[in-house]
Amino acid sequence: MRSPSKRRPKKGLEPLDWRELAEAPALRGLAEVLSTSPDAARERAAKRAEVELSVTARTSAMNPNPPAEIHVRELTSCETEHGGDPTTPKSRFPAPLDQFSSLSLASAPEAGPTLRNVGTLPETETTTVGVTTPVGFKTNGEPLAGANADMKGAATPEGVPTVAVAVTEDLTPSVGRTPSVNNEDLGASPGIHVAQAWQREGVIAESSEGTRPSEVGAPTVGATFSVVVPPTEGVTPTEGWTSSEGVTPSVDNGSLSTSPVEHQSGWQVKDNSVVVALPTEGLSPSVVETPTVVGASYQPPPAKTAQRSTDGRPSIANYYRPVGAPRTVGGTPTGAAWWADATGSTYESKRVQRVVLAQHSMSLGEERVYETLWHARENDGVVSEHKRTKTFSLGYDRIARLVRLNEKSVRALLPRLISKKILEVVASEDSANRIGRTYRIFSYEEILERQRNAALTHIVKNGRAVEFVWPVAENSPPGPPPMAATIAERPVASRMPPSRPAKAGVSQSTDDKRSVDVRPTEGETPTVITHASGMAPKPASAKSQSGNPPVLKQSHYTAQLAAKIQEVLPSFDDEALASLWSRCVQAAPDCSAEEVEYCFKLKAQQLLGRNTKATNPVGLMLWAVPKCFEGAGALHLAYREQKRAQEELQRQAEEEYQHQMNEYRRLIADPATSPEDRAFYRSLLGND
Amino acid sequence: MIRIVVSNQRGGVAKTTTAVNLARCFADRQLKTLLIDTDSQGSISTILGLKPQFTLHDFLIKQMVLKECVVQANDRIDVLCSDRKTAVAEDIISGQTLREVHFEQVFGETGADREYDAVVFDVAPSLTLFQTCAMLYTKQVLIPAAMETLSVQGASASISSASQLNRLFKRQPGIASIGILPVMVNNRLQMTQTVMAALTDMSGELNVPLLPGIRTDTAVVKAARAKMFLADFDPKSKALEDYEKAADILLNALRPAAVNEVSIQTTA
Repeated sequence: MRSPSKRRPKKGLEPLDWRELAEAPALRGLAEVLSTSPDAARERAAKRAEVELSVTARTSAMNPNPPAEIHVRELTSCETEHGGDPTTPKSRFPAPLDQFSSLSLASAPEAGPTLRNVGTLPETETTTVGVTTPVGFKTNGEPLAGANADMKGAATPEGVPTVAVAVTEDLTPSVGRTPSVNNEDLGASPGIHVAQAWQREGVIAESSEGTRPSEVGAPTVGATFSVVVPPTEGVTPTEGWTSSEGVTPSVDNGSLSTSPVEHQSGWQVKDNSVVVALPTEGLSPSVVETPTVVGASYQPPPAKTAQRSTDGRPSIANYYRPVGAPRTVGGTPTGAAWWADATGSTYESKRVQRVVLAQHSMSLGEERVYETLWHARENDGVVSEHKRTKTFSLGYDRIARLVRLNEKSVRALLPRLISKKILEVVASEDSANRIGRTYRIFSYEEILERQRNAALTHIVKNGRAVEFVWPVAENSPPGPPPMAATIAERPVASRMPPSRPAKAGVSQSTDDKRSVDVRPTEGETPTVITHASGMAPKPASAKSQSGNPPVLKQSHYTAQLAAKIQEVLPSFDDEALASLWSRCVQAAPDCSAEEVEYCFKLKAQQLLGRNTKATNPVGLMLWAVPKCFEGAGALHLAYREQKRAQEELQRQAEEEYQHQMNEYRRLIADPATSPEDRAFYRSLLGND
Repeated sequence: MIRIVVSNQRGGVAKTTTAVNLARCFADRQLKTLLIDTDSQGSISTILGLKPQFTLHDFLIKQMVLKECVVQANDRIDVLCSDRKTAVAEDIISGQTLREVHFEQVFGETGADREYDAVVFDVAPSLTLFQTCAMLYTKQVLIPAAMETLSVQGASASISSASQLNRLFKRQPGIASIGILPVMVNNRLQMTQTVMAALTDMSGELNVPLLPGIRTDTAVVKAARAKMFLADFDPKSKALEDYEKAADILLNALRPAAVNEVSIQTTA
């Protein structure tokens, strides 16, 4: 028997009275809203701007290259430039197009990792060049606690020369077994990552099948990589170990301590040389007996391997040499007998070493601070702004806690890291808000580049310290060198390497071209051109030098244009700007600096924004921007027309405004106007 | 030129959907259409899957050229998208005198909209400056109303705003509410009948035409999920059929000549 239905009885809906809804209290006050005076709105906008400013200041302190966000500050500053008060913008119309400050190309990721050309390997032989013990393993081959042996997809920080070797899970990285790289496990992306990481390190990994990963980007499937095992202290790797050009790499076991990374840097730092393990020809590297890593029981590999170094082939160690760096092992390139550090102390040349890896320039303490800060998490306050840079706003106390050193030590180490171009100060501390000084920390590759740009190329080890040195002229007697100036006091030009001389009349770009922050680091000159005359230096007339027509046809570009363009693209120097101006003037003789700036910024945003693949942004802009000035539908003409229309509008609006106000006054005076309307019109007139 | 602002001062009443589908219907009738999103939520770019490089903020504040700021969503539809910065732009412009006629100035008087046959505005679901600007610029307000109480209240608020603006600015012609468009109509629900009755009453009282309703249709949300126009996603959907009817009525009311041109072209 069916149970009685439990459905609730339907209730009929009451009719909906829309009038009642329309008169709801929530909808009252519409007239007041519509008649809010512009002054009140301005106040509201100013308050909002203040809030935005504080947020922006804090954000930019953490990340000096903000994303392409618009800030109220930018807008109020537009009005300030036109004579208004930033807090009470008086412009009746939006500020003219003069601010693209939100456009930070430098904040955009650069055009992908650049593969370096690491030279050519001998084609006839398959050389397996060793890599260090992979991250995640102790030096004795055992996995580190908590380390994931399968590093598939491991997010290795870009630019960090970690030893990104992928290890399959089933392999036990014990002595005698070599972790193999398996592309199937790695997938495409991590494989490329691995290869690039190696290339950045200057390490060539070549598979046993003869495929070179430097070109392919990923190791061959199933390719096996041998392991370089650093010799232990006191062991001279004469047999089976070939150091470059006969220099025996001395290994400091103290630096081989615990972490594989330190381990790696420890042996790489020494003596400008790289230790290479050469397997026996025809033998798989995994078959080669791998020597014990740690301890004095290290025995060199079989003598067969040693023979490889005597057959006249180029030393494998040369492949570790960064591109462009001269041979350094076996002597200093300048041949100077005496070298001096920044304090004036002199050293014999035999103590001097060239900085081949960024780690060479760091002492143990400095390296510890660097490593800890670079690998710190975002929770620790270290924000990755770029694959080559990170920023952090930490005080000495927090850094000390992070790196587990005494605060005094940190106070001493940080200035040294700054002077060595490993860190730079981005913003000063904000004591009121308890925000520490903001630093930018660079990747190894970036550090090396910065140091080279600053002519910091040679070091000497002085006890536990590592000091930069410069050659003393040969005829100078031993003693305090002529270069008594400190690093910070040296002019940038004098620190430029010979291959990149500072050009007269051309502003010197900073060593960090990727950075949008133009504030100089300690002792550096700022990048942005600020000429006292208000005009940029006139480029040398090409005619006078080479018989070509003069570069400029029309008036010169202004320093303001130069500064604005360099804000967008810091590497766009005077020479490029002169060329750009010349091309624009050729395309449109009546073009103005404002139009060039507009087109440049527009094109920069379109072409060099996020995810750009442009490797030569300056060249790209030199090509693209003049195109805006060509043809009847040129972009600058549209801009010009719109600007003209805006001016006309402004004039009409002024007239209409006056007309409207007069109309309100007339209506107020009109006896036919209802009191309610009169009050309403009075409120509209407001402070007028 | 046809200019319409789709307004209802309540959220979730299919303003954006209506604006997008009407724009598509206009475009299908050979009208070059500009769809402008003034809602800082940027819903149009989301449901059409657009990735604008420049937005309404760039056009209004940085004074960029309109054609650089729009995104082409279709052969005949350009979209001026919006994002969070629209709120900033609104703040800036509200500090100006004659702020209410700003759109009239930047779109109309500069001739930026000259190359379009139809301009459709989607506005935020509240009483914002840009809604006022859009109303004063277009002078035609279409009010979608969903089948629930608050939507009716929002519709009445929009009509009230239009009349207030007329009283304030005394323009000729003034802002006209060109129709109440019932959306999400499901005749099987009792609430639909109730709301439709209220809307009919409102329509008669305020002399605003009540357009044929848009039936509820899951294809609408699926199209948004697929980031496509409804006409592309499901050309046979019920909702699209209803939007086509509404578009024809609007075109007849606003631009009889345009419809005639279209029918001539179709016949030919």
